[in-house]
Amino acid sequence: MKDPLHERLARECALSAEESHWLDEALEGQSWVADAVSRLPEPGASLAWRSALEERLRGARAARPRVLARRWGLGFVAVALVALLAVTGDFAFDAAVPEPASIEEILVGAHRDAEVSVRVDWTDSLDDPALESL
Amino acid sequence: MGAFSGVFGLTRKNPLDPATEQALVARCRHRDAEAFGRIVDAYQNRVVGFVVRMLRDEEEALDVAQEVFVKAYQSLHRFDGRASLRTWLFRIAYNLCVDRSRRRGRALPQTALEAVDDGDEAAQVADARWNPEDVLVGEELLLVVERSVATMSEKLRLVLLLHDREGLGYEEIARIAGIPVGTVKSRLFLARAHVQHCVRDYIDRVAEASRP
Repeated sequence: MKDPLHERLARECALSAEESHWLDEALEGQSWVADAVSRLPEPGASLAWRSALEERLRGARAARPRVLARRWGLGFVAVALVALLAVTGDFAFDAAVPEPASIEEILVGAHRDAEVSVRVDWTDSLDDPALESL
Repeated sequence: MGAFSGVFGLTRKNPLDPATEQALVARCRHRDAEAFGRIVDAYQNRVVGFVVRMLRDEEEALDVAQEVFVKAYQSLHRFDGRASLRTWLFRIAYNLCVDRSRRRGRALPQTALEAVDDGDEAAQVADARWNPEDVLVGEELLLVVERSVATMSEKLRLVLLLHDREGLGYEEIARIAGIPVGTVKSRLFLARAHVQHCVRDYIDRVAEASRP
């Protein structure tokens, strides 16, 4: 018959401080088991096992650049698609650009610009110290 | 165990000192195959031994042990160094053992201790502090212990192997198994009690058979 503490251990219930203390002491009392388990023979891996592992690792090494290349390739395709969309989008907007102005409008515009620049030059020249002596 | 060479692993300490381990991991992150080979050299026997005892199927265990190192190689860039490399490798090994058991339709028991009568055995043996080596010779004792390890539930075996064989601490085991430290201690106690019970049972049977 199991006593209540062993029942609780088997059911993995939370233990009180007193029970935890008992458990720590009981574990110390089982140290010969730990010693015996640590002395169990170690099944060492054979050379054939190691060779097979090396083969699998080589496969993993070769697979990684392929995965990276695929990722980079997909990234490149995505960027190219975005760029293409942007360019085709510009073409679409080109349709909305207004018609070029007539020759007459261009000449009037150029004349207006020239007038403004002459006025600016004249205003600037008033500050010329050479004029002050006049 | 035809694929193995029998080696007695008397030293259970970490095979790589922390500085060497760190340097090797750093080299592995730069795809240094030779550095990873050194890590395999250091841990292969322990990982193979652990997986063989966990799965109790030699052929499958050999395959899983290789998978452990392939997985480790592929995900070493995610190893953050918070746990030791040893803990990390055993965690991968344990997860793969669980995966493989599930695939076989034989899930590792996670909650109850079901048929294991470890509580009774613990009650009778834990305080006795007897040493079976007074009765059995070394090799005979190890054979009985090996058999008892194979017959306990997988979750008890995990804790027993990681603590008593691999020398991992309670916290490390708790991290690997995903259970509280208190549960690690309870399971270790029950696992050892199971071994004690098997050894005592064996001695009783031998004594019975030798009676005139």
